[in-house]
Amino acid sequence: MFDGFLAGVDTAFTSFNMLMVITGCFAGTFIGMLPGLGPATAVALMIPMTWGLDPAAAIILMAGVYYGAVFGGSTSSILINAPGCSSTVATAFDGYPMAQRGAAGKALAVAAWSSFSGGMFGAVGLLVAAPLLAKLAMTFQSPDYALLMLLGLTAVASLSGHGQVLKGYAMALFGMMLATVGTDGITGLPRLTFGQPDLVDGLNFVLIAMATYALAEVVLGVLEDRLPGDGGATARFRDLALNRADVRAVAPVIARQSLLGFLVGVLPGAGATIASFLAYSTEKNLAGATARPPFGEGNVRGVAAPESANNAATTGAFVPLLTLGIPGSGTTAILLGAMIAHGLQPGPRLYADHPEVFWSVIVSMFVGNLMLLVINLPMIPWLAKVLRLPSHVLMPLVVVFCLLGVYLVSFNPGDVLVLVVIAAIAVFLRRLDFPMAPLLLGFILGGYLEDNLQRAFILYDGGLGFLWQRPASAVMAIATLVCLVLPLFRRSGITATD
Amino acid sequence: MRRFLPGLVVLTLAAVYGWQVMDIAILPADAREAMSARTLPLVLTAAMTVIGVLLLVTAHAQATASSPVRRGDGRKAVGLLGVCALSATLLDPLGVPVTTALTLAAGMWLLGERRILPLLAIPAFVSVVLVVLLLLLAIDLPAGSLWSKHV
Repeated sequence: MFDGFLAGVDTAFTSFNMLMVITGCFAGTFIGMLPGLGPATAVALMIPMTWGLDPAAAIILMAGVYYGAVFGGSTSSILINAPGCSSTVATAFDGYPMAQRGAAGKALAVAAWSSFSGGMFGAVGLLVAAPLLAKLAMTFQSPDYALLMLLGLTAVASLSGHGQVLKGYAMALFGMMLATVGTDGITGLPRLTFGQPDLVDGLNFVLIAMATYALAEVVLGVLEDRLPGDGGATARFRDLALNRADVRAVAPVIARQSLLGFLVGVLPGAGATIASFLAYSTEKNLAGATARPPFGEGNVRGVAAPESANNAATTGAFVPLLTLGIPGSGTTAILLGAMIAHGLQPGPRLYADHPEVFWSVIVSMFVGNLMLLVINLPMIPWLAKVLRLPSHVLMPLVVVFCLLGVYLVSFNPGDVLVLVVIAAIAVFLRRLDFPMAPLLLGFILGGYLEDNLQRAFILYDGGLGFLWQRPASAVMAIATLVCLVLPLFRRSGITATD
Repeated sequence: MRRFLPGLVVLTLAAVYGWQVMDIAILPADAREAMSARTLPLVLTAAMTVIGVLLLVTAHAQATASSPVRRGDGRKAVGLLGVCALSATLLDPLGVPVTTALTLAAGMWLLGERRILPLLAIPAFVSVVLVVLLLLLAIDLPAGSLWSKHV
């Protein structure tokens, strides 16, 4: 393990990979700042840019984009009350009132320090938990994997928002349906291709990610008239300092909520959004009615809590992704797809076969979080000027990046048409409150689920004994059943749309 | 009617997919196996149908839990998708740089930009930056059959 860690440190600290961390954090902060374009869109937009990179550099870059986007999302929440992503919605509750009364700089600084602390705490947790879980997962066999994938799918679908559980399941199934399009692994014959030669190789992951997140987000923004507005509060560099009273107020909050955020992030299906809302409500309850100013009116703890929790959760989400190959949210699902596209198999094989990638991603997170604080925080007042760019320039730019991102993968204009069709379907489904994260997850895991199920049937002579004969399988089968049935009887919930 | 729409959509998806599943070829040797090329698609169709029915049965509760529909500009949204589709058809004849500029200009116009200078300058600038960036990344851009050369 220690050799692998050292290899990871070596890989992460090459000058090129350091550049990738900085670029990723910077690009993520920039894109995450744009209202409506969350981390999922940011990561999806970066995938085509990484084709020429080696896998470690590509994943380091995209991980940087991910936590950079979560960091950047808080800026638009605070300055213009328009969260860059769902995980920074809670930040706006107190961040925007602070900005309105002239304390935008302090709110941004608290958000940055909380993000940094949460991210660092999460990285330490990842460093400790990931190898332990990966070693356990090394003992898994095909039946365990098949059930693990089913568990991941049901967990994510079941944690869809209130009234969305059935829709979450439907989208997971729809994603798996899309995954069955193309050449069948069993017979080698084309399956569900509608006679189209373009579909013989199956649907492209980048295309699905761009269609359901990036392009659909822009079209929905136009359709629902919620494109980012211009202007908002401003912050100056000298306003970004915190005094001793501020530090005393937020330090215990950061410690508590970083732990909570990490634990929530590790759970498949939970993610940064739920973590930030849980952290906010916990702090609000702890503070009670005596809080001055009250929560919702510019309390600095109301900024620190969601920001430390969402960054810790973002890092925590890498635990199931790297060790089990099970993404916990839409963004980590996109990262999983990107890793597969780069020839890496996330899960215990990544730990065993590519320790330099496994460890370098973890090590890079320490560097990335430091970069966000040291480089990005002082640049926030300048970066925030992007919020003043008119949406009629920004949104067409995103559209162009989507189209080119898909076209440059295959140089096939037909893929761009498929992108438009799937984006239109995604917009329609999202208007009906269908969540997209389970769709993406179903698409990515569907093929692996089928392969592992097939192997499990071969191992058990066509019987269903694999569901209970191995302890790990039995535990996961029961957990899957619980995840499947329990939410149907749930009366309330929090939307997990990260 | 809107409350039944999600269930109907899911059932339609299940029906269309299920119809196609019947066309999946199975080799004679695979027909006796526990899992063939058709097994998972059939399970997916069945599960989707069950969920569609459940969505219809619980339509009232689902509708009250759904977030309210926000009204915006449907024509602009359709227009934007149309611009994207048009771009796809222009990529081969016009190539990436020209199509990028045209798509950007059309998108900006659609979203409300009416000044000629930004409509010309921004797409041209973005297109040039993009070409330089992609060339630096060693990605060979097809220039388009109309120009019959590579950038």
